[in-house]
Amino acid sequence: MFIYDKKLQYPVKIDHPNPRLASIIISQYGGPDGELGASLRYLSQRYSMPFDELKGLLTDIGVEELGHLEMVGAMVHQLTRNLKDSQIQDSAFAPYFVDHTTGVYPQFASGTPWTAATIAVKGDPIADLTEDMGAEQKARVTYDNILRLSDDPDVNNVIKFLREREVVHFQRFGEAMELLREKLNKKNVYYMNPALDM
Amino acid sequence: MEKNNHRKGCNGVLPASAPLANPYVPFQQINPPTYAPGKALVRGTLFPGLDLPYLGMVNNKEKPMTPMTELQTIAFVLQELALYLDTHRDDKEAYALYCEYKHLYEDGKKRYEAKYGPLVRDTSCCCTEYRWLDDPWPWEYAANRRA
Repeated sequence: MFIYDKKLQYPVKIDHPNPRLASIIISQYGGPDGELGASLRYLSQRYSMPFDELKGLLTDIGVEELGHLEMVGAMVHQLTRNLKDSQIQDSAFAPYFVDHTTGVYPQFASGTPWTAATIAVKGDPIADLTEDMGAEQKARVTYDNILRLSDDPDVNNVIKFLREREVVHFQRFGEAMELLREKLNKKNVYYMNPALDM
Repeated sequence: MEKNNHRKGCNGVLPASAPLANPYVPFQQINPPTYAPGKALVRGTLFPGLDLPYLGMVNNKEKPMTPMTELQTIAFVLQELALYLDTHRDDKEAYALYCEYKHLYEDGKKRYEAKYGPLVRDTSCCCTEYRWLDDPWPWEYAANRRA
């Protein structure tokens, strides 16, 4: 089960509301490489993982991603508080506003609602860990792109933290792959699917 | 000294003979160099060897220490050590360090809860009344006001 801890993993304190920026950052809430997909990908892949290190790592990273989802939500929320009419009418934010007002909704920056089509659970540990390494890279690039688009120091402070987490997670998934390989047929790691055949 | 440590921590270990057609990431060596906790938090990693920023953009300024940021800092070290231990379960030093920080966290949490109310509903009997609901909630701007 899950227990809520009434604190953020990292402080989010955005002094200046900026709905234009919120409409970009929402992509890491519910976009193609966002934190919602990340948490569901890892927490769902756990069930077909054969070894305790893999179950544990996917649990721990999946839970951390839920914490990141909350941080991104906090950024969107703080960027859209106390808006002036001129900010609401900003052409970059108005399409989001008409559908969700200043609620936080999981969607791509382009407006597509979050979709499970952006994640994969293949049920084969090598395939799933390879997917996870790719997913961390794509999330890392999205944060790179946000750093290019944003000049708000309060936002960038948090984005730099989240971006670095992707690098660390990539490393851990890479190590998990090696731990898995050590348990497989040395001559042919694809000899069978360890989720089914071990 | 830190520069040398940084180099040392950057180098991982690959298997001597690896099969083809597989993705390989070098294993982080055991007992890797670490940042001090306050620096680890703002850098987003405890490990200098994994600190790989984009276009040199790094957070240089550490967070001012409040009861909350103190907890966040300790919790972050715990998270980093936990993920490290998930793939390095035999590193006894890292495990001892994890347990050390866990005790620090429990002490800090008790002090925080006595003043500001429970952090987890499990500890909602920390106080003289039901304070679980008390504003601010973590995502709110006002959550940063508690010094």
